[in-house]
Formats: sequence, C-alpha cells, structure tokens
Amino acid sequence: MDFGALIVATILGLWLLISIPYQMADKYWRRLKSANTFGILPGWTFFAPNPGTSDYRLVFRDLTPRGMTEWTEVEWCRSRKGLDALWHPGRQRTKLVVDCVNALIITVKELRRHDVDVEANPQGWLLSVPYMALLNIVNTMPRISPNARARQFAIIEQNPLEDSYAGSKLILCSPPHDF
Amino acid sequence: MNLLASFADPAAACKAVAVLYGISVAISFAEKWSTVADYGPQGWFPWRIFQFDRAHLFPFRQYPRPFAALFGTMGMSATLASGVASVALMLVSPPRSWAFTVALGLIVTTCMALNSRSIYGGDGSQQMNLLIGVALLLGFNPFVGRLAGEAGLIFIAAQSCLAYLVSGVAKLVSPVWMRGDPLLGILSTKAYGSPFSVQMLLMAPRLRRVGGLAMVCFETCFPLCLALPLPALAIILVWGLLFHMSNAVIMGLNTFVWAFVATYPAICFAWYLLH
Repeated sequence: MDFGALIVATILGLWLLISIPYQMADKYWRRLKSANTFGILPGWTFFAPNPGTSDYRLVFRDLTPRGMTEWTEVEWCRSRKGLDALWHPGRQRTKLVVDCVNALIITVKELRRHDVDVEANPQGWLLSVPYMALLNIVNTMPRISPNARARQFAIIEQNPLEDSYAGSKLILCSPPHDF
Repeated sequence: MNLLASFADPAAACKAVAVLYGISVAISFAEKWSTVADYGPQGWFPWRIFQFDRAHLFPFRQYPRPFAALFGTMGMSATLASGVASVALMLVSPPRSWAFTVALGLIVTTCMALNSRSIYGGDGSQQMNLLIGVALLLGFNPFVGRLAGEAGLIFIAAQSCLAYLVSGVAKLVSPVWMRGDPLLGILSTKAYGSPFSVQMLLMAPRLRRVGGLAMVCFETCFPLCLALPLPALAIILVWGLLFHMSNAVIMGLNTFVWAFVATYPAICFAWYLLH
C-alpha cells in the first residue's frame, strides 16, 4: 500500500470536490470565498453570466483657489498591440481598474440591499478598498495646477460602440479629497 | 499522435506539464517584476491600501511589519526574482529530484503570496498556475511514488476539464450569451478588445453569432474529449490551443495560453488511463 499516494490522492480529491460547488460561490459559499486568501479555490466562470461590455472612463479634476479645473482622463488601458499576445505587463493595471469598478458597484448594491442610504451615508463605500484603490490611481497622476489643493474623480460607463457620450452613465462622482 | 501517445507515461506527461507551466509562471512573474514599482507607495498596488482586505486575518493583523516589507517594492522584487530563478531551476531538474521539489515549492509560495496580496488585478491563468504547481509538488516529490504522480496528473486534467465546463455552462444559462451579442460587446471594450476584431465582427454579424455559440459548445463539451476516440481528442486539443492563441492576440490574455495548454499533457495521460 502506497500511503504517500493515498494522502496525495485524498488531498487532491477533496480539493477537486470542493472546487465544484465553489463555482456557485456568489450564492452559497460567501464565507468560504472570503476565506480563500491564497486563491486555492478557483472560479472558472470567465466572462459569464454577465460579460463586461462597457468601457469605464476614469476622469479627475483639481480644486484650485480659482475653482475646479477641466476634467482630465486617466489613460489606464492602452490600445491592443501585437506584442500583447506574448508579453503584456499592462494587463494587471487594466484588470485592477475593471475589478475595482465592478467591486465598487457591487459594494454600493449590497449597501442598498441592506437599506443603507448610500448618498446620505457614503462612509460604507468611501472606506472600501476598491474606492481607495481608484482614488490612489487618480492621485498618482500629476497635479493639473501647482496651486491645486484637492482632487475629485468620477467614473463614467460608456458604450464602446458609440462615438459620442450619448447613453453614457455616471457611476460615481467622488467628493474632493485633499492632497 | 505519437506526441499524444508519449504522454501515456506519467514521467513524460509530468515533464511536458512542467515545461509549459514553467513558461506560464515565468512570463507571469517577469511581467509583474517589470512593473514592480506599482507595488510601492507611489504605484497602483500599494500594500497600505490592499492590506485592508486582509486586516481580518490573524497573521496580517498580528505581524503587519513583515508583510509590509514582503509586499513592498523591495520584497516583491525579491519574491518575483526568486520565482523566476526557481522556474529556471525546475526546468533543468528531473522530476522527483530535491532540486525540482524545492524549485516548485518556491514557485507555489510565490503564487500564493501574489494571490494573498490582492484579490484585484489577478486572472484565471494565475489560478490555474497555482493548481498545477501544487499538484506537481505533491505528486512528483522524492517522498512519494508513481501513483501519487498519477493522482497529480489526474487532478490537473480534472481541474482543466472543470474550468472549460463551468465556463461553458455559465454562458449556456446566461440570457446575455444565448440571446444577445456578447462577443461584439466584449471585444469592443478597450480592456479586452481591439479595433481590428470589432471591424471583423461588424462585417460578419452571422459569423459572430455562430462563433459565439461554437465557443460555448466547445467549452461545455470539452470534458467529453476524455471519452472520445484519440483523433477527436487531438482535434479538441488543437481547437483549444487555437482558441487560447486567438484570445491572446485579440484580448491580450497571453498567459492563459501557457497555463491552460500546460494541462493538455495531463489530459492526454488521463485519456490513456481511461482507454
């Protein structure tokens, strides 16, 4: 009897067995999902059931003694290049912004589900990691004016097949944050 | 077919998985290493923000300083560099050797460190890399015999089949995928598309509908490759390779090619085990 093989087969077998119902994690396995610190349990529902078909535009403006500056866009995702098929370090930044915007939308929905007035009590999402991560990204951009003392940002959802802003949706407009 | 037949031997299948897996993790680590400044206080992934996602966990709460050092620019640079060096060591070491085991242990630790640092910005290839790494580590170390290696390969094959099946079924039950035009929607985004692919899709509306459904069918039926005759297995694996290569070119999902194709020798091994 090969005990080593038995132990390995048991561990991997259990791992596989738990992986199967974990695919429905959103509904039934929330606690386990939050405990999946090392990413041991995989989620395989790529681009489903609701694939992202919108472009998110991340814009910011600075508060100066003369008032607000014009909006400036953060170019967080560049156009596709042939080399991306082999070497694509920018993918991580792109995924970060997409993940954070999606997580922020879910956070706000969850707060609303628990009857929280998200406009009157914005602390719930203002202190969330996705919001802070987006604020951090915006704050890595150079100041628009040397006299700027605060920065405000907004996320706009846009249909990529439409050239104009018609049909665009404001997802979030932050309060001004001091530098 | 000779190539597929060679994977009936667990040692050959392990070596092939290890080579493709090595390329996958090496690209993944090197890409992160090339943008390591992003892990610093001025970067896009500063630990001072992402640590709040882990604040409820005892080690992160109890020992914040070591984690701050590990997950800062210097710590991440050292971790990723050791990860790349470990891949080189794994590729030149025979399976079941001490060097192979130590190298795999370091690679798996690096993958776990990356996963635990942030839940944002990761992808499916990272998940597959961790599964393959642990399966190879448990199945091909000096302490276990041939059967453990076979269990490791079966696990890799099963997780790969599960990945395709779940991805396919999730699309199959989705009204967006079944009634809408998701391919055009996804490939027109800046994050996952390209102007060239959108032009192609706009020119052939019927083709994109058929292409979308064919992709869902391919993903859902992928596990059947284990039951079908050998030529069908070869066709499905070639299809899978082309599928991931097109995703790399059009969507920029480059590491998925290596991570998922790395599971194919294990699938061939499982096929020969079943037949």
